[in-house]
Amino acid sequence: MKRGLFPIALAAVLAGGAMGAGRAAVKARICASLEEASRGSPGPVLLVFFSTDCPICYDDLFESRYLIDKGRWPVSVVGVFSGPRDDLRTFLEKYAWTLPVVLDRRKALFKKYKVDAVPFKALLLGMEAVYRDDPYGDPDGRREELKRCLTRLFFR
Amino acid sequence: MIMAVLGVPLAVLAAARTMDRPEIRKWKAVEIALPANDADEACLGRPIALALDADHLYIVDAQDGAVKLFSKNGEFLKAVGRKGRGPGELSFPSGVSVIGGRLFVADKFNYRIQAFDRAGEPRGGFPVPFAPDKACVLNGETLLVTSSPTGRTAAEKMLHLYDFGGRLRWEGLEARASSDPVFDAFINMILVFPGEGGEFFVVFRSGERSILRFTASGALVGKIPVDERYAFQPLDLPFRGPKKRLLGFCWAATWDRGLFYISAPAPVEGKDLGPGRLLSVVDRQGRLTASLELPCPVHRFVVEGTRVYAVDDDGGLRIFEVVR
Repeated sequence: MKRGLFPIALAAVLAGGAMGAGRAAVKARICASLEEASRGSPGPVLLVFFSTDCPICYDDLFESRYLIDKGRWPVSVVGVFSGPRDDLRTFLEKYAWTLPVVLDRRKALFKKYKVDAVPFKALLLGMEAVYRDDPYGDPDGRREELKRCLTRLFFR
Repeated sequence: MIMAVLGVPLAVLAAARTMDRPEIRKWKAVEIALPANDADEACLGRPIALALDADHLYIVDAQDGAVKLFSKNGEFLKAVGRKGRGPGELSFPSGVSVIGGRLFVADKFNYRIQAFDRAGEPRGGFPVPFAPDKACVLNGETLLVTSSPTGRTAAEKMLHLYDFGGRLRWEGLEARASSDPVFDAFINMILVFPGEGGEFFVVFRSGERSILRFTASGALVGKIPVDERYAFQPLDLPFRGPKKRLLGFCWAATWDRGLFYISAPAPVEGKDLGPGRLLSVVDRQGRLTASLELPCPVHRFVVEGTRVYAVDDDGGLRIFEVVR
């Protein structure tokens, strides 16, 4: 993890812990499809495939949101998760995650974007993936490549 | 003239070799349509092991932390276990075996074997000093548990025999070690499956073209060389030091009614190797007797007579009827 991003991920985790006391206040957005998830915000979408079992995935999810927010890129972050619904709900409530997450139990999006392992990110313009994580790349290298792609596509 | 003189004995030798080998029959498989299985629990997130008993198919779903029960026509019935660390909970289960309605599950990251009854209630178990990978009931009193070597100590054993009370009876099959832990991880991948009368078989997934045969007490009683016509898929990986080549012997394997069913890996677009769709059917002497072509590549499978129960590379359950 990049040194500059670590405090953000840590803050997200701590905030999640603090929010744990008020779980009822968190409205988790578990969606059945990408269409449902991106409703109301048409445009580029950053899919973040993750699992609640791997801490590296948490970092990738939190840091993706941070990256998009910090750069003010016109991109919606949508999580994709294929595990049990209860696990997802517990995770979203624990970390106060309010961005949409597609519950992809039948792995339709995993298959469509050829995702073998998580964490994995894909940037969509329409249905086309204009960026896909290098499956053999390290997390920092992937993040830098995504930043380059965002800059190339959306610089102002 | 010389060719003519040599040709006769060579032809006799070739004929003798051919007589020793049965003709390879070509079997096809027809896919059986499955029920819709709409329930969320019926989805297989990461199916990695299958087992059968008289009435049910059991599929270990490592992602969901459960063993999923299906009828033999593919209808989802229930999930046994859930994610967690307590009794009846599982953390990355990776193997299952069934006897008399009792399920033994290799509860990998909880370092234990857990038992369940068919209703899904926990029925004991025992801790093990390693992350168990596969569990195979050999007879009414012996359980074979496998482990993957950690590389931290020398001469790690990969096979462990326990009684149902968790008492260790035997350990064996030392892991092979080189200076490259990645290479070691590949060459020490094994598959195990029970045979008849408590015996069991071990296949190294790469590097060896043979099947090891053990008794229920752990004695190695045979090494079955597999027919050289059985296809290897070589795999070059960027191991440390000089490049090493793995002979991709086996993606998955099982045993049923005197025959081994072995699937060779196949090249997959965008990857090195993946599961294949061709199963080699090998007899007890290691002779290739038939090849069974499935409609799709399969990741894991079990065979019962003319039925093949499998999970494909996307984690979907598939059932095939073999046409001989």
